Order: sequence, then structure tokens, then C-alpha cells
Amino acid sequence: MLLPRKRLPTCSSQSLQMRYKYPSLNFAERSRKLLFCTLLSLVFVPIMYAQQSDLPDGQGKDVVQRMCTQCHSLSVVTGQRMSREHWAIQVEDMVSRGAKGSPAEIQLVVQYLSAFYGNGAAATTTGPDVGAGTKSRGFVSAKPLEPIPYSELVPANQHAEPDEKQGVFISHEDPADITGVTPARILHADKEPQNWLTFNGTYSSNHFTPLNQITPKNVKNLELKWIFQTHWLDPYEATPIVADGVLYTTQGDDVVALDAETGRMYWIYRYTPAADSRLCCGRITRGLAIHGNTLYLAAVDAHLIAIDARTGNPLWDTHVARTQSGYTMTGAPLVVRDHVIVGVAGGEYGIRGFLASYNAYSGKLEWKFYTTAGPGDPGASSWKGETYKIGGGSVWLTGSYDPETNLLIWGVGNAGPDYNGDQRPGDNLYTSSMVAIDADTGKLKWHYQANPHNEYDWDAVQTPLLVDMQWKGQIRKVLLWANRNGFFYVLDRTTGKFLLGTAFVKQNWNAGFDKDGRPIMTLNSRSSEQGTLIFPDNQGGTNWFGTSYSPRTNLFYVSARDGYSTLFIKGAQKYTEGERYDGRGRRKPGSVTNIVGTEMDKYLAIRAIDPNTGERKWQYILNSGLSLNPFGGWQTNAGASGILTTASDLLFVGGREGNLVALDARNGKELWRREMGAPMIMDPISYFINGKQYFAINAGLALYVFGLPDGNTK
Amino acid sequence: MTNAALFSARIFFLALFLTPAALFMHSPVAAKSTQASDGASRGQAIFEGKGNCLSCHRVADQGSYMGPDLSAIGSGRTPEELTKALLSSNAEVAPQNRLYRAITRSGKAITGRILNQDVYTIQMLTSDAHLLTLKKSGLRSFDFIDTPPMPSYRDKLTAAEQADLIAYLASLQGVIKQ
Repeated sequence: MLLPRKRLPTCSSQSLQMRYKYPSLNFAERSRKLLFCTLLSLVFVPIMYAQQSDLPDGQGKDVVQRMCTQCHSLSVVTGQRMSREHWAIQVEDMVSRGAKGSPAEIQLVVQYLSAFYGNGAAATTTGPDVGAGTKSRGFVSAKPLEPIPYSELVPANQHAEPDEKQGVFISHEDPADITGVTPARILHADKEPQNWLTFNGTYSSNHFTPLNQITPKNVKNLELKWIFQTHWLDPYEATPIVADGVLYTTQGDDVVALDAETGRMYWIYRYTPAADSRLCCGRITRGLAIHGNTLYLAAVDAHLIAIDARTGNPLWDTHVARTQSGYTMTGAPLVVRDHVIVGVAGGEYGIRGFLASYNAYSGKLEWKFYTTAGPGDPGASSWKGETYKIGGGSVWLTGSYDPETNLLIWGVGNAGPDYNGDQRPGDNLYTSSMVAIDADTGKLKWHYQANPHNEYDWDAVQTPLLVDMQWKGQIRKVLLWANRNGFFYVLDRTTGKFLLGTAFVKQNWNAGFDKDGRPIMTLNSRSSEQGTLIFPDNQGGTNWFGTSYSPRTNLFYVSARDGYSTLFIKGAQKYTEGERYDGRGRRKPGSVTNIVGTEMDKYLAIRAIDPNTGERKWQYILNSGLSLNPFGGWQTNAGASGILTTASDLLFVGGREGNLVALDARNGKELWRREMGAPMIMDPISYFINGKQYFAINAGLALYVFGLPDGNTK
Repeated sequence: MTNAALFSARIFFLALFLTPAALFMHSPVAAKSTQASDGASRGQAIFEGKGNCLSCHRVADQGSYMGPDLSAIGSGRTPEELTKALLSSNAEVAPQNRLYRAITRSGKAITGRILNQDVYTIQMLTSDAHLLTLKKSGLRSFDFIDTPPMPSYRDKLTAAEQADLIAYLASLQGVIKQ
């Protein structure tokens, strides 16, 4: 639930008039009046505000619908389960962020939500539950599954056997019987830029294409080639993959195969997730993986599904985790040889996060790596008692893979409960960390924790870019990482050694690093009952937006949110399975406001960073602090798409204000700009067919594909 | 031998009655408990052996893409319907399951199943299992192949074999969600 719609027009009309009639007026003086318009992109950031109406009938339905759909789809609400007390906190938080409603209306909203979406409430999300049974690949038999007790879902430690292959050469040769997108092709994806074979393009995740037909000189001639309109009303937050002329994308948990040259549809696979899934942030499936001629979908109800890439027929369906306990999956899987790697989300529900590997052919579990250290794990003492069992550490973005070391290198989300570290004393390894694990065994090789005992909701899931580069006088194998905590890191990716950490946005929590790279916290940086003002806010200096490294410019590029802050308030919270568990507290009367400076002091910029120093080389401001919300009032423009750089020194990126731009990657100069009419919140890609380079990005609920005019690609 | 003749000679083509809405869609089927009977086991052997069904059909990750995928055929068809399709195979064939052939202006024949089309293009799954979009302006002709793709199995299998094959087909319930 978030903002009231009817009350916003007053705000918006006033604000517009004030802005244009009195442009010199200090915006801060009006910020309180505008507060309710700025809302929840801070919490439920990049969302298309679908106007679905699938709420159960009951007193208060209309008020909930009016208030909540202002800033997000109803699935953000209907996917949650909370006690009345926590719904009250949630609603109060929305009100504190600007939602307007009379006390009676607010009470009604709390009453309605706790009645229909209270802990243990029946399913009300769309679609029928397809029931239970055993996975069937042989299509022979099935038997009902017993519910999995929670205690069995979080055993102390389930690492696979010790890695006996360590130090042994890992073959990347393809088996003789595999066709299509073979593992070797994925390994060498940078050698076939006509395709985009993984969520991040390549294992190194650099979001750099060797294609160079579109250049700084001709980019002004780009024209729209085709559009794919999703048949979907929730967020379209997906990055496609392209293989041999076919573009595969998702719409929610559906999978679609399109001709990459014309956009015509080959097939669609429809999937209805379990109706009682716990979704913190809407039905989002960010992408797919491919192995041979099989696609892999990590569905939001924590099912991993293999799909025939030529027909859309499902091949097997494996239950990864119990969604009723809060587990979901929103990130794209990553295929490494015959392993399909997935991670789970649900950090706001007291999950125990993990990465897991499934066999690409059978769907059988191969190993599981828990992101909260249990007994016997390195760092187990960083948790007290059994808090690791509900300690969060979600893994909801796709990581990278280093074939030379056979290491999966992956960012891990924050600890839970998010805001109240008192309930989980210790550093809480491996939350808010970068971890490197063996791709064949799931065994931990190294970890680096960016925020020990994180209380700011800064998931550290941002994808690391793996780069071999001249770094301070020598060639080093490093990873480059822009963390949600506002810092840019350089780590030695073979050892995890900290090499560099510099802030790329305004921050006030870090006073430096010790020799091992552990952050030195500033005074008064812990969250508190009174509230602690922290830069950046909980949505971070950046978020899931893919970063880019260009080997031509030797620059790292990030979509940076600057000037955002949040008042962190913790609250005691008892864990209940399937209930939201974030430790958020209530704002105390007289507590300080979380508004610092003016709304216009907040903005998003594309920043080019020198990896050797962390120094900013240039920036391009893509989002202003506020813009008109199409559904009424104003909105903060918190997010952006990922970034793509090219071998012709172009940089493509889109923002929440609807502006899609091509910049000169060398200096940030704007070369081309189009108004797309909707936010862009996922990563752009590029591919090549029949002599033409294409550039694709989703905006709103559609995928847009651009290219140079026919017969004029010079 | 032309492609069409080759395929028509080999194809085991069940007459399926899919609804238009299901034309280009696939969904996991509802869980349904089945037991692999002895008859079904024998039927599977016929399906994969004497019947040569995999030369045109696909079940899970095995077989050809020429005919319709039968992975979930048992979830939507009664044994009586399956029997009718097996013995009177070409009585009713849904368009998406008929063989389709496009011939380019240079004379190259492309055969497979049509997945989608508009005024300007055709989307096909070709007989060699490729997804392909063809511009109609570049084609000499494009149409369904009239030759019945699937022979009747009335005289090719004994009554007992037919029963076993039907038992196997009825056991195919598709992917069951765990």
C-alpha cells in the first residue's frame, strides 16, 4: 500500500503552479507539501503502476485500491502477509512518506489489509494454484508432496562434499551430444557479439559489446525497428537474451520467444505461480538462461523450470524453496557448463538465503551454498544462536563467473531483520558481502563483507564486473563493484583482497577502511529507536541497474543515485514464518525528518569512474529530483536502467523520467536522446542480425528495439 | 522423394483438437497422479520402437519436432479420443499440427509447422528444429501440405498393441509442478 490518489491532484496542481509561477522559490519550503507526492519509489522503486483490481471484497477495499495503486501495483500488497501490528507500521511508514488519508481511512486500510493479508491469510493473488506433486521428467508418475517443515528448510549446513577437483583443470569442452547454445559458446560469448547469451551478456558481466556499427557519428540516425508489448500489468523488469536470431524474454513468469529481427512471436509459455507466494516487490522475473536448446526460468514462486527453447514446452519443474515461508526467485539463472545456478530472494521474510546449483538436464539439486554462515562454516561465530537460520542474505541478482578459477562471484543481500541488528548480534557473515564459491561444489573460496552487521537494508547483490586490467602498475585480475551502500570497490577476484573503496555518491556512514578493507563506521551511524539519518537511503547509491566497463576507455560506469537519505528506525519484531520480518520501527513523535536539503538535491547521474583511483571522470545527469507522476502528483526519480557500452565508444542508458540517451563513453557528451514515455529500469542489450546491429531496452511495459535505417548503416 | 512425401511416409500424427486459445501457448498441467502400468510400459516400448513415433513426435526432451509434442497428451484427452486419433488419424487435424511448406523464389523448400503469421511474415518451426521467420514477399508459395501426414495404425498394430500404446499416451501428464 502506498499513496492516496485522490489527494494528489491538489498537490500536483499546486506544485506545478508554484514551480512555474515562482521558479526562484526555495523548493525546501514546499517540500513538506510535496512530500506525499514523492513517495514510494524510495521503497518499491521501479514499478509500473498497474491498476489491477483483484482485491477481495470488504470494507476498505476502495480506499486501499485508491491509495496503493498510486505508486505501485496491487501485487506489491497482495503478495505480502503481515500481522496487524506490522501492517500498521507499514501503513504508517507510507503515510510518513507522504500518503494522505484521514485517521479513519488509515485505520480502515490497516484493518482491511490485516484481515485479508494477515499472517496465515488465504491466497488471494491471481491465478489458480496448480497443486502439488513430484517433479516429473519421465512423465510417468506423480505423488503429492508433504509440506516441508520449516526446520528442514534451514539445516545447519548442507555443503556438498569437499571439492576433489580443486586444482584440477576443468574442461570447458562441449559434450558431443549437445547442440544449440553450448557451454563453450557461453564461455566465449564475447566472441559472438551477434548474440546476447546470458543475462549479463558474458560471464564477466561487463555490459560491453564488441559491436561497432552504431557509432557516435551515426547514432543520430537510430530508428525504431520493432516493439514488443507485454500482455502484463505488473513491472516489466527483464533483460532479454538473444540466441541465433531468437530473442527470449519474460513477462512476469511467462516466457516469450520472438524473432529478433522483426519482433514476431514464435511461442509463449504461460506460467502461473503459486497463489500464496510471498512477494516483497511484485511479480518480477528479470531474465532467463539457456543451455543447448533449453531455457531456464527462475519463477517467482521459487520453482526452477526448464523449457524447450524451440517450442516453449516445459521439460521439468523443480521446487527450489518453500515460497510460503517467504522464498522467491526474481533473478535470472546462470548456466556454467551443466550447472544451472539460481539464488533466492525474500530477505524481508526471515529466509536463510542461498545459491544453489541444479543439473541442466535433470533438474536435480547438485549443491547449495547458504549465505548465512552456519555451524562449521567460516564465520559461523558472526551469528548468535540460531539467528543465522532467519538471517536473510537474499541473492536476487545474477552474479558473474570466472572460468580461470572456476569461481562463481556473487553479491549477497543484507541481513534480516533489515533494520534491527539487535536481534542478530555479530557481523552476520556472509550478508552484504561478495562471495566466491566453487562452481562444481558450492564451497566457499573467499568473501569480502562490505557492511558488517548491516542495518540499512543495503543489499549488496550488485553484479561484479570481472576485469583483467592495468591496475596501479601491474596487470591484475580484479572485480569492479558499485555497491548499494554508495561505495565503488576494487577487489582481487582470485583472493577477495580489498584493493580500493571510494564513495561515488554522498554518504555519511563510512569514515574509512582498515587495512583489511573493513569499513570504519562514523559516529551515530547505527540505526536507533530515535531514528538515524543516513546517506544514501535504503535504495542505495545504486541498485540492480547493471554497470559497465569499457576496455577501450578503461572506465567503469554506474547509474548513481545521489543525495538520497533515510531516517532509519528499528523496532523489535518476532519472527513468524511467512510474515514480513524487517525490524522496521515506528517514527517517534518529534523525531527528525528524513528530508535533508531540497528534493531537487536528489538526482541520478551516469558517472564514469577511473578504477585505479575511484576518481570521477565525468557525469551526465539523467534524472532530476522530481517529475510529474502520470497517476497524479509528483514522484522522485530514483532509478534507471543498466548501462551498455560499445566498441564504438557509445554508452546507452535510460532513466525513470523516460529519457533514453546515447552518450560518448569517453566524455559523457550527449549524442542522441529519445523520450520513451515510460521509465527504463532494466539493462539494455545489443545484438546483430543480417548485417545490422540492434539495440534493445525495455521501457514501461514494452521492449523497444532500435537500429540504423535500412541501406544506411554508415 | 520430396520432403512432403518423405514426411508423410514417416509421420505418426495424432489428430488433436486444441482450442484456438491454446494455439501458441503451453502451460504446465495440473498435477495428476498416474501409475505406470505394465500396459503403459509396453506401450512406451511400442512408441519408441515399432511405432517409430519419436520420428515425428516429441515427449519431454526426446523425439522430433515434426508433429505435435505429446508430453501432456494424456492430461487433455480421453483414451477414447486417443484411440480415435490413432486409428482414424487424419479425420481432424488442427492447423498448428498440419505440415506446412514454404518455397522461396529460388526454389528452396522449407517444411515444418507454422507457429504464427501476419500479412508480411510467417513464423515456422522447421523440420530440422529451427525457429525461422520468412518474408512472404520472398516466397514463391506457402501453404499447408495436403498429403495426410499420419497413417492409420489400425492395421499396423495389433489390438493389444494399440491398447498398450493408448495406455502409455494416457499416462503422459506433462511436467508436474512440485
